[in-house]
Amino acid sequence: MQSGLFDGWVSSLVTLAGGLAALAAIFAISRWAIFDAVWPFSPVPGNGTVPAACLQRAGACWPVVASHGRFILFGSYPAGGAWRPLVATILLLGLYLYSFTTRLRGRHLPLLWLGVFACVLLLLDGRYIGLSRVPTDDWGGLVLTLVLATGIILGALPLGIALALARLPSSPRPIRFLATLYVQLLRGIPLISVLLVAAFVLPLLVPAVLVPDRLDRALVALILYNAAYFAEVVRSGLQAQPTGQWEAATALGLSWWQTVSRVIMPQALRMMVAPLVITFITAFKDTSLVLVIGLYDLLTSARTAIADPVWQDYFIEVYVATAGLYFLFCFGMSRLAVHLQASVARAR
Amino acid sequence: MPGDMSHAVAARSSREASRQVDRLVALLYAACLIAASVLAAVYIENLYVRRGIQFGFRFLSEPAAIPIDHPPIAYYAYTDGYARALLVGAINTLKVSLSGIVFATLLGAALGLALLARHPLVSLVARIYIEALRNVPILLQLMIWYALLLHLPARDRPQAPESTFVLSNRGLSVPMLGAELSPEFCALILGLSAYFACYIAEIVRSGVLGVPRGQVEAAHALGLRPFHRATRIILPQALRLIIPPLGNQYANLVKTSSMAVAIGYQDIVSIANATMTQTGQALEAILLIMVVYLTINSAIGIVLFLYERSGSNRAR
Repeated sequence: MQSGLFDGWVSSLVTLAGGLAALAAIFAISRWAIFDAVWPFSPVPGNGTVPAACLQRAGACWPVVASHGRFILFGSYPAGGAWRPLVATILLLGLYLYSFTTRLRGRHLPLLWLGVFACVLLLLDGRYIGLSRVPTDDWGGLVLTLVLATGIILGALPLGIALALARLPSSPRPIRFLATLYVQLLRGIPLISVLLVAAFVLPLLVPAVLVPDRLDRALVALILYNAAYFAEVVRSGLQAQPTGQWEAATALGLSWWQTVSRVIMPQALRMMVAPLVITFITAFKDTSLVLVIGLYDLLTSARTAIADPVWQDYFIEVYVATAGLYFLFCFGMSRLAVHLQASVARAR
Repeated sequence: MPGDMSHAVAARSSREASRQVDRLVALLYAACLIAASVLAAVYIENLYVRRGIQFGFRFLSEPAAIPIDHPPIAYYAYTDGYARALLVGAINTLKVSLSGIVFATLLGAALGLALLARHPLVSLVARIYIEALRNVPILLQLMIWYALLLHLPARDRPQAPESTFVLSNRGLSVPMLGAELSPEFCALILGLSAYFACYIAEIVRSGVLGVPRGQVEAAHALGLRPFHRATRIILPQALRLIIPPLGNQYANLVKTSSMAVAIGYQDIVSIANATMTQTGQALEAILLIMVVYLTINSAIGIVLFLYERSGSNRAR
């Protein structure tokens, strides 16, 4: 009776009705996804038509996902070099997993991230390491989403930290004003408008031969936009540091820069590590908006896969698989955030 | 005394330093100003040289070749100007934002209370819903809702006037009220409210949990009935914790409604996009988008600010 499932008749009724409904839902979903489904790697007719099994069975038609798998994961990256995005994906996933298992601690992490990111870019581009060059317009799928997300961390976090420092009460008023204006302005407009600027205005600001490619433009927009959000989180971490910390550091004869980089910022970042991860989850989900700039990230690739009229009726399988991939990343990171928050609370 | 001396020296050197900082800042400002004007000049020049277009807002009065379905105000494509088309887009943005806010709040409050329910099954279902929706991009969810709506059966026979509402692949129609909601609008409302309800639920939950335990116990001791405990003691105090973050979520919802463009709802972004491709006036159109969102979000910000300053919030 302690469980709360059968305290009184209302609760018992809810338990019975709700339990039945939940069972029915689980049953229906597993029938669709598993028991009545066509297995992912059952053969697909070579002429690009839907397998006969999919037309006969009521459940999910997973071959649609399997047959578009390479496109969803790697976009239109040339088939011959498919190992390159595969290695890049593994490198980036390894980087994320390693950082999570070390709970984002360690002074070597920034260098490690930069190093792995550079390796991934070199590998995907190929021209500087003796492989054939693949233009960024052909990068796509999951690996592109991961490249964008990693680029956001490497660009927007430092910029956000700089903006937060510029907004400290100790910094000169005009600088504070500029930084505040930047943060408030960017937080008031949707990401799509910044991406549109990157797509249509940026090319007119540089000489025609120097126009950056789509990926670079998208990254610039994503970094500039997300920096405002990272800045707010870092700022609240800075504000939470007691003035005693500043005074003690000054009394020890530390300069402003030493105080910030050795005393205040490490504590602020450690305190705000969970909110920073949450902000990053939002940024990760929002990378899907690069479709307005014409990049084929995970979501756009999936959407393109089902634009094929033959497969159009099986949109739900592809969407479910894509949503599952995003979910794995975001849910994993949100669990990490809960963990980090708990350990920060324990440490205090 | 040497102490005074060093003090004076320190004061002078700090004054010296602050003057130096002032000079640096002035330089920075000048640099920003120059950079901004150079960028603007380069943009205007390149726009003319490469595209043959003059910067400016004169295009606003030219007739817009943008057909709009079910415009909320009178609008005739090819006769009315771009200004009017953009106004229609802005009203559509407002329409979808406001309806999204209403439904997200209702659903979010229900979910938040479900999270707090003592019944483990109820809170578990709410938790699963929240985790499932919160960890998938809203853009993908909008596409799923839209695709689902478009795959609904077609409306086969002329609608009977006595039916309250008809849901089909052409959207939701409510013959009794004479309302016709397009599938794009329905998908957007469904997607936005289902997604933001997750965030609102967490806010409601932590708001209610934030009410000091003693308050509830005191209400108990005074013999207040459960309903009055909830409405007179818990709700007013929880609201103080709930409203500021709730306002932030409203602002997020308004901004997120811009993703409507991906499923073809004609909000301000979609109309501005069409304007951009027809006239080439990219920066002008984007500036108008920004102005619309900044205006709506500033309005939300002002309401929040007034609320936080008002007596109801200070009485703690």
